Order: sequence, then structure tokens, then C-alpha cells
Amino acid sequence: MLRETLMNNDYSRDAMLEFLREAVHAGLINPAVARSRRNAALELFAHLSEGEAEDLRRIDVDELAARCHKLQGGTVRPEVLSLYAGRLREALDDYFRYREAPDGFVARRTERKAPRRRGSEQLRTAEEEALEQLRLDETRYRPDIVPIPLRPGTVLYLHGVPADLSAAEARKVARVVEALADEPAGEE
Amino acid sequence: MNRWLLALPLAVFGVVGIGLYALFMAHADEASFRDNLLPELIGFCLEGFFLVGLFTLVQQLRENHHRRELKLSLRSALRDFLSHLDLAFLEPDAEPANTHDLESEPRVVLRLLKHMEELELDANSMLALKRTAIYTLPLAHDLINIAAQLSAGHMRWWIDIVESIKQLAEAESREAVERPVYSLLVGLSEFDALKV
Repeated sequence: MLRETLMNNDYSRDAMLEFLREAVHAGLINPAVARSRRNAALELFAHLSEGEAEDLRRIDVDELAARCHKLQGGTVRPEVLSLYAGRLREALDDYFRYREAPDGFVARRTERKAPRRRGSEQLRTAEEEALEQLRLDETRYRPDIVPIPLRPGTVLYLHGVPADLSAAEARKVARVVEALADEPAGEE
Repeated sequence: MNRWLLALPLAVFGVVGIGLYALFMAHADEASFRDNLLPELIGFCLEGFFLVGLFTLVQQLRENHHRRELKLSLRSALRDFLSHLDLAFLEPDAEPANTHDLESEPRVVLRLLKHMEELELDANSMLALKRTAIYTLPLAHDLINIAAQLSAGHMRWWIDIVESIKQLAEAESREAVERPVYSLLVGLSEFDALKV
């Protein structure tokens, strides 16, 4: 039934959306999974070019998500866009696999895991905890703020340093900071 | 503008008014006040009542609107935290909350608080929250002045929120992340509960 609905070699946007609807009726995909993928696809497909809409194999999902981010001016949050991009990737993968081999098709599982309950039996392994600690430890400062440790307990933060700072400009900054010192330079 | 210039018309109207009243009383008989001046005074009072009442109402509405806008601006500054938390607790195939709800709905904060009590944050979400805290801290700090324009209560809770963001920005372990996130949500729910 599903195979009859979808035309051969049709990799268009409409065919994929049709697949997501019909696959639920055919029992190939969980309805909740299909719904979430369809919503993600509808959000991102609004920004497809004509060529991409005709042949979804030409889509680069990351590039499409980046395009949406620029076009929508922040109405869809970046973190939601990357969630949608992940769901679209899974949807496309399933669709392409179905097109290539409909007979043995089994939908892939959603990669996102449900959040872990507190006090559940799934304890974190020592490696997981160490990795968690390491990642949190790495992120301390904004990349655009340069910390300069002066002495124990005192750190100076330099903000707004341009990427193309020249040596002459750096000396100018140094002279300004020098002027703020308690004792004049050269006394040390 | 020079304040004497503003006082000048008042003085002119005052002096002319007193002069006219004296003139009226000098030539008036017993019924003149009741027949001529009383209806004018009643009209004047009614006009004053409606105009002052109306202007006060309009002023009040404008002020409330302005304060609501200020509160929404403050709330929006915390949207990224709520967004990351919303995604952290999202079931695999569920839809994320919409942006408008994150920015203005107090029940979203209550839902996240409940999730914080029942569910754990994963490493990616903790990292995203910490990064958001690092980026948001200067802005949140600058917004204390805006919170102070709302009320002392708003300012107190906003300072509490800023403190949580500061602790989150410096967190280096799961406990050190979860504690300020929870306290940020508590602070935000109290902030929401305050009337503007």
C-alpha cells in the first residue's frame, strides 16, 4: 500500500512528507516519532531551494539549518534548530533507506535519549563522571575575554580585543595599563 | 525651560481671576451668585472630575504597560537558560516549548522546577547552561537597574537570580551546576509572582 502511494525514484519533499504519514499507517514508524520528524521537516523545508525540494539527496542539513538561523532572525532558537536538524537527518536517512530497500526496511531508533530520573538504577560510570567534570572545567571564560592572572587571587580580564590587533596597538594598550600602575614604570 | 516662564501664566490667570471675582461681587445682588456663578462652578467641577480622572487612568494604563514591558525585557534575558532546560528535560520525540511561552509564561518555570526535582541534567545541557551563564552574567548584572525601576521586591529577586547565574558560570561539577540552576528557577518563579 505504502509502495503504491510513493512513486519510484521520487526523492522530493512532498514524497518524503507523504512517506512520514503513510509509514505510520503501515506500522513502519512510531506515530510520535513520525510526528516529531514531520514537524522538524516542515520547519526546515520552508527554506529549501526549488532544486532541493525536488531532490532531497542534495540537502546538506547543517547548511540548511544555518540558512534558517540567518533568515528567521532568531525567531527559532538555535538549540531548537539543531534539535530539528537532528530529527530531519534521521527522517532523511530512514526515507532514503526505505527507497533503496523497501522490503527489509526497519526504522532507526531516535538518537536522543530520555532524561535520566534521579535515583534511578542507571548509575553514571566513573568515566562518564570524569568526562562531565572535565568538560565543565574546560569552560571557564568567554572566548572574547582574555584572563590575565596578575598575582594569587587577582585576575585581570581583557575584553573586546580585536582578532587583528597589531603590535603597535598592543603597545598602546600596554601604555594605558602602565599609566594605571601605582608606581611609575622603571621603578621595579 | 525657565520655571518663572511657567509660573507667569499662573500668576496672570490668578490675578485676573481674583479681579473678575471682585468686580462680580461689587455689582452683584443677593441672587447673582446662585443664578450666575453657581452653575459655572458646578460645570467646572464636573469637567475637572472627568478630565483629571480620565488623564489619571490613561497615565496609569501607560505606566502599567511600560512596567510590563520592562518585566518582559528582564524575563527575555533569561530565555536561553529556560530553553536549554526545556530541551534537557524533553522526551525524545516531544516538541520543545515555543519561544513566547519561555519568555512570558510562569507555568514553564514551575514545570522546569518539577523536572529539576525528578530528572537529571545530561553533560551537554550542563555545559550549555554554564556557557549561557558566562555570556549572560554581564547583561543580567546590568539589568539590576531595570529591575529596580519595577519595585524593591523585583530588584531583590533579580539580584538573587544574578547571584545564581554567577555561581553557575563558575560551576565545575554536577552539584555546582544543579544547585544554582534550581535556585535560579526558584528566584524566577518568585520574580514572576510579584505584581507589576
